[in-house]
Amino acid sequence: MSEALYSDKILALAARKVARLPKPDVTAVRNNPLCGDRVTLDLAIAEGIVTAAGGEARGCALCCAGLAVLLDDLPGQTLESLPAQIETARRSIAMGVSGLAVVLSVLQERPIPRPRQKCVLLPLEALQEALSSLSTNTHE
Amino acid sequence: MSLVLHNRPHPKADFPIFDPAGPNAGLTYLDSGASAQKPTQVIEAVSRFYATGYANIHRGVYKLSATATDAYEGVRAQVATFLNAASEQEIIFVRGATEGLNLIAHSWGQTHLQAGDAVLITALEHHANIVPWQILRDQKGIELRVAALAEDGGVDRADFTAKLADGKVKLATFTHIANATGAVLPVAELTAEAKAAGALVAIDGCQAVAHRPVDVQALGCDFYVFSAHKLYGPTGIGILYGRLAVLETMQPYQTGGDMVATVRFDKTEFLDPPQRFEAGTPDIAGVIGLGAAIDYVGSLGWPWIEAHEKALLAYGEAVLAKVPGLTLLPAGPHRSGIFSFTVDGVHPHDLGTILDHHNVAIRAGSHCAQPLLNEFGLTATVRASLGLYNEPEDFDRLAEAVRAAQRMFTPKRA
Repeated sequence: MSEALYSDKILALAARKVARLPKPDVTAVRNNPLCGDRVTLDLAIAEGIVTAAGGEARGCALCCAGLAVLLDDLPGQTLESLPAQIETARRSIAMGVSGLAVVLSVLQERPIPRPRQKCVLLPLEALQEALSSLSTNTHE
Repeated sequence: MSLVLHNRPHPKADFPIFDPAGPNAGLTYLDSGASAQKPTQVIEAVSRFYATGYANIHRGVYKLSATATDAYEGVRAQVATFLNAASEQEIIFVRGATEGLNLIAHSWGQTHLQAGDAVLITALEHHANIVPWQILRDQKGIELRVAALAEDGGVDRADFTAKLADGKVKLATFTHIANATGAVLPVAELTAEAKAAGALVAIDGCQAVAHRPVDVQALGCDFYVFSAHKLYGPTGIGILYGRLAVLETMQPYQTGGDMVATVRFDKTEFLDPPQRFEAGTPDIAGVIGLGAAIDYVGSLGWPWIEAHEKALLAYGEAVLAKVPGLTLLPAGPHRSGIFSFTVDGVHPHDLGTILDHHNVAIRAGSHCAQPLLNEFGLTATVRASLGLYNEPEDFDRLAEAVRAAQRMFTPKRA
């Protein structure tokens, strides 16, 4: 029985209380059109480094756990390093391979079934959107 | 508890996906509203056609093409009988109900609707019966009206009537059975009312054709669409029924081979319906499979199918009512084939995955009906939908798996 997908660790992450940042430098919101789930991600940034991350999720356990892990991992990361990490995480989730990425490493202990990969990736999509938004603002 | 089908085993035995010795042994399939499984009779008809009868249709001058054409056109006549259409000319093969609705919006709507006209839908529609009309609204300046959801989960009849009152509605288009809840709409009454108000009527029959007989002449509708894959047939093929007098006023949807009478560099003349709306080589094998699916359903007969579903619905409703924290979405005065529900403390997608771990296949999400779920204050539900292979025990397995999910989540996410 592969209910092991919902390990105690993931369920604990999903239940963790997360909070928005009071004064983020950038905020991104992503929706999952399949189920209406929504992730809001706030980043505070100084000199190209994420100094704080916050957010909220209206979503399933995998989506909420994904956001919790991301909020743990983001502080201290350079903006420059994030696109490659997002791509690595995306590929490894799609391939069901564990241990390749820093981001979402906890979730990657077990392959995520294809129909649920979007749930796990929603926080990452919000991060990608936040980075795009920063990039657009910088170029403007 | 199982209804006896005389002189043959339970139809589940006709569906190889459920083979107890096969790779899906023990599968409880409750997602027929998304797509139904296929009986051996359909699989073999498609396979046999490819193996022994395949050729392109209509233009070949050799025997094999003539035989394939006969088989293809034979299914058109078969569908006309299945829907009780007045003529096989009224049966158009499309890719599915979605294409059928888009064809109506494009070929009828572009010609017959003008700024100031209105199209009336209901709050219970699938996205495929919302978005084409929104696009037409934005292109042509028509008004898109929505008959409200009634408190009981049906359509608000008074609102439907009120929205027809000014005579601006030129087309009323609504579902026969709501795909997200199983609500059966009173389509004959709605059709009569809309026609009396001067509108044409289109009906999305996707969730209905596998569950009850449909008589388009008795309904009095101008269009009726359905997809073969929900009727135990192949994917990629569907039906648009259109009343001939209406089809004759419509322009082609796509253009190309097989739908033209003459082509010159300065002018093209189109064939009459239905060929006018069937450009290019169609899904011939899909049509053959649809014919086999209609034969299969006919071999069981509507009395058995309807009695079987009635018994399943009663049993399912009783079983689900005993699951604490499970809330069933209302389906109006009459439900058919579908239970849509939420479970306290368990997100529908998590629930869907855990049910899958118990070998119970359901659909979780918005069911391509986001506006309807929003009316209920929801963004997603779990949907269990029935086919003629389902048995009462399937609901026992569903309820048991829901309880397992509750045990997993309640203490940790409360």
